[in-house]
Amino acid sequence: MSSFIGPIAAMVVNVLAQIILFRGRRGTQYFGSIIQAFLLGAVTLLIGEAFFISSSAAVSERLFLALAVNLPIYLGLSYCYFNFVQLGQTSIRLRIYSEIMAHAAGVMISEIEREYDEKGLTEVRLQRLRESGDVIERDGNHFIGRTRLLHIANVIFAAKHFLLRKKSEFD
Amino acid sequence: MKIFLTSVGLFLFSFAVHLIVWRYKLPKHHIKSLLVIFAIVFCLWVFGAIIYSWGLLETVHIGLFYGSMTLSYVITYSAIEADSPTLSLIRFLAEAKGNGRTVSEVSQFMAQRPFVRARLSALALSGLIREEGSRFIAVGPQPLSFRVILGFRKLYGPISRGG
Repeated sequence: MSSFIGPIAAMVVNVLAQIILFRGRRGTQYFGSIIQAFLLGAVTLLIGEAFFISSSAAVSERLFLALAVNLPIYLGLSYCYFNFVQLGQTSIRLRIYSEIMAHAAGVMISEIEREYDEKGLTEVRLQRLRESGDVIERDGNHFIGRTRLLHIANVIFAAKHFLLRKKSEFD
Repeated sequence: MKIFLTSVGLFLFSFAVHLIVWRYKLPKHHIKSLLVIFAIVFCLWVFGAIIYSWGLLETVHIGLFYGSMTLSYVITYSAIEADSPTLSLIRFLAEAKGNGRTVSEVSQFMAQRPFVRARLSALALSGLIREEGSRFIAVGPQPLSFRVILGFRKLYGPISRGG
């Protein structure tokens, strides 16, 4: 029998655990709650799959299903969930839209530009990158610190060049 | 094996169709077009699966795997389509290698990339807001996707200044 219940159950555990952990800590340790909830979901999936494998006659087929199908489904859904939550946390587009929606008469462009001052946002980003160690400041100059974001940036920019034939949306 | 091969095959086929369409002409609404392509391919396959009497559970399992891959790709694509200010900044710093970049160089680089204005244009292009004189006004009811995200965000309380 085909079993797709495992990754769904694991996702339910992941989402509920993340909300409970995040709220329980009064909004602190956001990334910690994401990782811990993901691991809890993964453990749920492994337990479920182990149960199915032990009770199945076709062990190798069941093991393949668990590793090559259900695990990628869980990873994919977790990735989607992480991005969904992240969108609600940091998306400028969403914040601007919700502010415009909240005012029936609309919002002045100058007000948006003042609230979302590009220079201020750049400073916030630099500060965040310095705090995470991705950027290092030395003698007034900024350098790359940890290279993890650089690897992601290189992959994204290569994909953009391949798919859209340009290097930036501002090209 | 059947579930794995069918799901991956369907995904690769949809991806190939998406590449061909993109090479021919870039659509106006990238994400919508992507979703339509991936959905059409899946619907056509489901039609075939019904004709050839595939099991319901197997079909649902394939749908789940295919859906998971598709949504992951669409999310990743949205990061490819619109520049991330943080990743742009990281690449700009990396290009300087050992020389580094001063704050004014960073500010100048970011000033050439008006991300807020670009996001406003994207909202206007999707028909969610419109510019009227010196104001931006919301158009029509809030789409379901935004309602879900904003509703879910309430679980997290006030959010920090981000972007």
